[in-house]
Formats: sequence, C-alpha cells, structure tokens
Amino acid sequence: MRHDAQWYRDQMNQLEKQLTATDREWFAELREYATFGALLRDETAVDAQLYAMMTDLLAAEHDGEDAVTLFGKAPKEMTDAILKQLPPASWQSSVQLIGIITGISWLVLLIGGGLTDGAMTINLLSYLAVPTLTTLMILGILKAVRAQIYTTVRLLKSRVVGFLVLWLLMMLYIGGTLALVTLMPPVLVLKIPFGWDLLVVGLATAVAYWLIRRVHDQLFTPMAFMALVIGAMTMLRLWWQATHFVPRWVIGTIVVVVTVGALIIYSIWMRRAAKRQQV
Amino acid sequence: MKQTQLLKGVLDGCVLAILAQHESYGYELMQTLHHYGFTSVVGGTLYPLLAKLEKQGDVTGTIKASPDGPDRNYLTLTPQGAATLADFQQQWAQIQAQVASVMGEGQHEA
Repeated sequence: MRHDAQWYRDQMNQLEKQLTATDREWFAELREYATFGALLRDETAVDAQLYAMMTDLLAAEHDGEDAVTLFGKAPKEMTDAILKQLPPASWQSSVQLIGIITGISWLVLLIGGGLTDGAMTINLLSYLAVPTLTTLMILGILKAVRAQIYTTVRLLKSRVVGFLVLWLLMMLYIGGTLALVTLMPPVLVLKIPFGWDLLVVGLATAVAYWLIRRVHDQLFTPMAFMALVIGAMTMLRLWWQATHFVPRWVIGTIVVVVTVGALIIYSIWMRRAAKRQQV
Repeated sequence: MKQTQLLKGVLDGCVLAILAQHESYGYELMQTLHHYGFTSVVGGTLYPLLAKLEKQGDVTGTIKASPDGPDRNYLTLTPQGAATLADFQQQWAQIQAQVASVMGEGQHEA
C-alpha cells in the first residue's frame, strides 16, 4: 500500500517519540537536511524514504543499536546519495510552486506600485525579473539552512548565526527587488487609476493567500501571513497617495513599522514551522 | 585494496539475491548482509543502493503491517529485478572463473 506525504509525516511525528533522545535529535537533523534539499524531488517519495529509515532505526534500537551504528558516520553523504535516486517533483507541483513564487513576487511589486507618489504603475519587465530574484532567494535560504545542519564549524551551527544569515538574505532580497524596480527601464508600463489599484492589490492578495494556503504545508503558512500584511500595507499607502488623509510621516511610520515587524515575525515563524514539521 | 571498493557492483547483486528468497526491509537486509560477512556495510551504503534499485525498477516497496513494530516498507523483487539478478549471476560466475584462473596461475608461478 502507498500513502500520501502527509500520512508518512504524521506517522514519523508519532514514531519519533519512541526513539532515544540522541537518535531523535540525529534523525531530526536528517529529516531537516533531506526536506530542505528535496524542493525539486517528489515529496511523497522523500517522506516514504524517511519513514522506511525511521522504522528501521526503531527496529535497530530494539536490538540495542543506535542511529550511528545503523546509518554510519556520514549522514550528509548518505542523504545526498539517496536524494539523487528519488524521482523528481511532478510538473504540476513544480508549476504550483512557480505560481506561488510568482504570486508572492507580484505582491511585493504591488507594494512598490512603481515607487511613485502618484498613480500606481506596473512595469512588465520588473514583473518578470522579480520572480526570478525571489526564486534565487528561496534557493539561497534553503541552501543556507541546509549548510548549517552538518557543518563542522561550530560557530556556523549557532542559532544566532543562522538567524543573521537568513536576515542578511532577506535584506539582500529586499534591496535587490528595490533596485530592480527603480532601475528597470520603463518599457511597457501600465498606469492604474485610484480605485482600480486597490481592487488589483486586494484581488492579488486574496489569490496569493489562496494559493499559499492550498499547499497545506506549515512551512508556507508564514508566507500567507506575509502576503496579507504586504497587501494591507499597499492598499493603505495607495489610499494615502490619492487622498493624503494624514501627514506623510504618519503613514510612512505605520508602513515601515508594520512591515519590519511582520518580517521579524515571518523569520521566526518560518524557523519554528520548519522545526515543528519534524516534531 | 579496501573491501568497499571490491564490493562496488557486487552488493547490488547480493541484495537482489536476498530479496529473491524473501521480501525484506532495510534493517533486516542489513542484518542478513552482516550475517553473510559483509560487516562493513552500513546504511550510508545500503539505503542509496536500495533507492537506486527501486528507481531502476528492480525492487518495489510496499507498506505492510509488521508483526513486531510499526508498518514497514517491505521490498520485493520485480520481474525486471529477477532478470537483473540472472544477468548478475551469469557475469559473476564468469568473473569468478576468470579471477580464479588468474590466481591459480599466480600460485603455480610462485
């Protein structure tokens, strides 16, 4: 009998509790390393493989062995070798992932609204370039998190360094996005009048939220939260640009404080979601 | 020469031969290999190999109830795996004869 990825994950979350503390930690690292490295692999195949290994570890523990005796001293190399053999992700899930990345990228662009003080603008070239940058950022984050797991450099294993690296990547991404939006030549630019811009941003927010929540993965929930925050801030700013209902510094402060706060919550939430998925 | 280097290519055939006798799961396969003297084989070698055999279509995994523990992924030999095993056995017999012949001559010369 074959099961879906969620079944394997639920079973592992239960079985993990039966492992010894040392092996539980050992296997949690293995799961994290395999999961973050399997973005382009079939999710069910990856979880089925991990489940088989966990049940084997339980049997080995029953015979008085442990994870190192069973799997050897090179878990990183073993996992890399296994992942190479597992089937790639289906084109549907790849398209869904690209759709999510593109949707989120477009929301980020909608926040900028062409970075004008007046009407919102859409530069089509930016709308192609930013999803590419977003993909690179996600790959960078996954690579950074993975590299931290089996590093032999103790400093790199610390939570503080991990958080700083993720924060740096996020800052690079935001800076890169702003650079792309401001420096992109104004070829094929659309101007959206007030009223319609709120509708466009509202709809884009709803669609992005719906797409992210459809994934049914805890790892994506923080992204859904970010999408809502970004959408709300965009609409607030566009509304202000058309009506100037409060002084500029008030709206500027609100947008900056809420966005930075949301980014901090997002980073912490993302990290916890990754951990929770292994518990 | 290290035993692991000699084992490359041979272990696939051994695993297929064990699975030809009865279905099994990773840990049990490891124990069987250890029983036959392949004590240097650890999960780092076996699990990528099993994943490769499954990818090639030589073995297939099925989740089944286990008498002593949680449901396990039992591996069975496919018809293609049986054909791969037959090929291996033929090639192994040939290599074994060739190596024995070389070694025999070496011993005579010594």
